[in-house]
Amino acid sequence: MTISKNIYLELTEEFNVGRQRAIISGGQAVVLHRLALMSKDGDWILREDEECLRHILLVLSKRGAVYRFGAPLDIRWMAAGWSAHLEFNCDGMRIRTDFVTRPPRLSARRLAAIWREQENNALPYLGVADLIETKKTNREKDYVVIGELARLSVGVEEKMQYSRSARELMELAEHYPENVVEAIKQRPALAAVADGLDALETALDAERRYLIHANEARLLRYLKAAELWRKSWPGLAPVMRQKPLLEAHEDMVKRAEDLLPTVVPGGLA
Amino acid sequence: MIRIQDQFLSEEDLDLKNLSWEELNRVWTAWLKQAQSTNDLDKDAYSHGVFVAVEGYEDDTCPDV
Repeated sequence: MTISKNIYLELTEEFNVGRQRAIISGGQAVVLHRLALMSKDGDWILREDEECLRHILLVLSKRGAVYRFGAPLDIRWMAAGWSAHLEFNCDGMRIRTDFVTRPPRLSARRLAAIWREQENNALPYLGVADLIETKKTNREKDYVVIGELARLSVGVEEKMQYSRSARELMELAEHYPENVVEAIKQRPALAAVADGLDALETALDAERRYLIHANEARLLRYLKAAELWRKSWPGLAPVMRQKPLLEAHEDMVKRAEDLLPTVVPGGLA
Repeated sequence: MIRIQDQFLSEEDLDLKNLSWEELNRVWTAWLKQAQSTNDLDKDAYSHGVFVAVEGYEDDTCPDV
């Protein structure tokens, strides 16, 4: 397939010259699943190796990108689950690029499988189930997207794991009762199927609130770990912005070595 | 029989699937250009990553300068 020149696709092509380094996730993956246009930012999962991160920085430096507040695009912080955020202007548009190497809620094993699956894709982007996992955030709007993504699921097991529609889950349970028992082990909210539609709707609401709080707790660990870094940023950023990105990156790494921990207890849990 | 289905996104949102690849790219880029009008409103926002604002957290959001 020839990839046309939307900026996010253009960037993905550049990121992946020579090897597969970047997989589209987030809102632009939602577009590629043909669901909705709802995000201005680009999100990628990157390979966690130094060549990859250097290449990404090189691509962005050619575009005049600058760092936003975040972690350096350096393996020490990426491996701890931090995220790196950069932006540049292109054709009058503000383009934001957000990166992780360890997306939340995807195990190391699953991540390795994703890289294998995407190896030869000219346009690599997260599949439905993986994208849903990354969208179990603390934002209500992400659960709306999960609801629609789940309708793209293939197979009864996947639909039972991810559907946000109590009606659809009740129908699935009626047609495939043998799958429900197994599905409950992965998704306890499904136990409410036995008690009817109202009970299942209540259980799904509670599940959503649980996921929201879980993600908030995870983010708070990082926000607290970044407090000294946050305080230093207003002094560091203006100096960095006067320099080409690769030099600014070196400055940022030196300061981060003192102020931003490379281990966040419970961060990757 | 009338069947009620849960609605998550609107039908307009979901019409992307009927677009050709070229149409999708055009609509996508046009949407991005139009969305630039809210840049001032979301200049401190993060859509993903670990620097997303958490309600109730006392410190300021992104200290971008």
